[in-house]
Amino acid sequence: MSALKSVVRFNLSDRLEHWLLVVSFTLLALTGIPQKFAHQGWAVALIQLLGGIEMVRTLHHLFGVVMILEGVYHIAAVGYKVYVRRSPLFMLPRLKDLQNLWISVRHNLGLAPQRPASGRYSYEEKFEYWALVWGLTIMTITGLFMLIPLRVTQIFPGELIPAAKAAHGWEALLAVVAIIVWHVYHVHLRHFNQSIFHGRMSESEMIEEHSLEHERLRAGPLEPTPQEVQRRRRLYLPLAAGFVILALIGILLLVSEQTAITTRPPLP
Amino acid sequence: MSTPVGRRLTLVLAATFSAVLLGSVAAATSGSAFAPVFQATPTPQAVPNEVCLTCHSNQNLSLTLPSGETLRLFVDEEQFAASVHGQAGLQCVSCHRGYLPGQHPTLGVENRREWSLQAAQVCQDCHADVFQEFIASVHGASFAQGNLDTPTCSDCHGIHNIPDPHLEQFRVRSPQLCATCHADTALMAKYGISRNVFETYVADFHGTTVELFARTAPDQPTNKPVCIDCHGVHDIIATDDPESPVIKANLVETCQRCHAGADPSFVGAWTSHYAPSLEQYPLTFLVNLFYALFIPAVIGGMVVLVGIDAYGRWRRRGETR
Repeated sequence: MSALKSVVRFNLSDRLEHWLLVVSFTLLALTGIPQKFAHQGWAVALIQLLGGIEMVRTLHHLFGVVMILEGVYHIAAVGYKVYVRRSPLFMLPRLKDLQNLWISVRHNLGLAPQRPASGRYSYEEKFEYWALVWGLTIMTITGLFMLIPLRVTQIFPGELIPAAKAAHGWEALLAVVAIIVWHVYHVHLRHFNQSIFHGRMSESEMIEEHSLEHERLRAGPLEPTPQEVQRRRRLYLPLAAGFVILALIGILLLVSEQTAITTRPPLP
Repeated sequence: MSTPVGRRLTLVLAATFSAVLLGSVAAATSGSAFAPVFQATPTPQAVPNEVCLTCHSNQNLSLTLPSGETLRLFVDEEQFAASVHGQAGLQCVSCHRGYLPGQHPTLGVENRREWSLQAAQVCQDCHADVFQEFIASVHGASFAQGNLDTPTCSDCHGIHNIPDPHLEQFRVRSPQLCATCHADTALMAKYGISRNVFETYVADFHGTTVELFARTAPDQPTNKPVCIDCHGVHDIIATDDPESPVIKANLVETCQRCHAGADPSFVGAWTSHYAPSLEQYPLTFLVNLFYALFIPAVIGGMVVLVGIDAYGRWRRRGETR
């Protein structure tokens, strides 16, 4: 990067998380959407292609667990950035995001001369991030409800199961369409933003898309000293590891319910 | 009886007569690897199938009943040979009683339905135990009253093409069989029964899977239940009967047959053939309502914003960045 200076936007951990999401989201959509439309010709053909409904369900459960674990890892990774690195909460929605949305609309219609100045994350990116948090939460809860109905109904009323099924299917459809409309437009069509793959963004792109963040980086933000980082890591890493391991055990225990007999009894 | 049929009848009688001279060939030909499900052994028959098929292999052979309905008299020999009765070595006259050399009795029925009710009486000669179960059922009670809407043996099992009901194919396709009547709006309205039972079954976990199996792999066993697993087979009783396996008080026990250890509240996870509404399964209804508003709102908002952004880019095209 000699002629064109660039900054690090996403570290290795961020990029790994993105890949985990790409793989689990795509495979969950591929194995899940045909289950929602199970009686349409294309869905039947796709289910056949993937090895039949029982195989499709097994794959769906498997990648569902991968996505949940990615969520668990994300919580630990955010905790690391905030506690150990003392990173500001860049992703928090602020009033400025609404103002930016308004300026952006006016600018696009030719009513405002300047495009909005964004920080590390633009309002489009924040919207997508929180949509994903909402979606992942809904899908995890409703998905687990369907996976372990015997345990769920020991505590909750039975109607939660069909309600969870309804929410899971609709939320999935919303997520897939939202990704196609919002994500594909903003980072593929409008301009192919490759920073999530190689981690870097050119300075000119930074000025264009994230001018406030560019200024902040130029000003040289206050970084914690290596000693401080070392000290906090000693406390945080064992805690985070414990959290991840507990979540892993919890999920494995949860998903291991024997909901139904595998072979039906002979006909009376 | 029309003239061609009459002519053929003469042929049959001639052929039958010659057959009987050769002796009771048919008596010795029954024999099968099948475990017998019938109670009585059919009496040795004197008329071999070939004799009947002389006329009944004609695809156009038919009879006009007094009701004006046409009764096809064609029998597909290959189809019968592949059927459970053909495999067991049964003869035409094992069921079509009273047909002896020189005797070809008339049916004596007014319409097709009466004819199939009459046919059911023949089945009980061998399948007496099943018939007793059937007569005690909700369908059988209506049959005993002579109700012409009643499903009889042949309505579910077929006639000359009866498949082995223990085959997986028969099982996974059986919900469609029940649906031929239970999804019939006019017929169900007559008895005040819901016509949505099939639709709601297919919309739920069990039915979705069974229908997929029926469409893609009917010979593969599935652990998901079909209608008869919960409601019973020949012994189906009314769903409001206190003895019914699907009445609320008995339902948890029925669920536990497959879902070991199911809590009484687990029963609520099955929507009991109701389409969700404010009265039945309101939470599911409200979830559906929420998404019916939420999805268009979110996606609509996204499309508008993306559209405005794309317009802005198009308007500013060529400008230096």
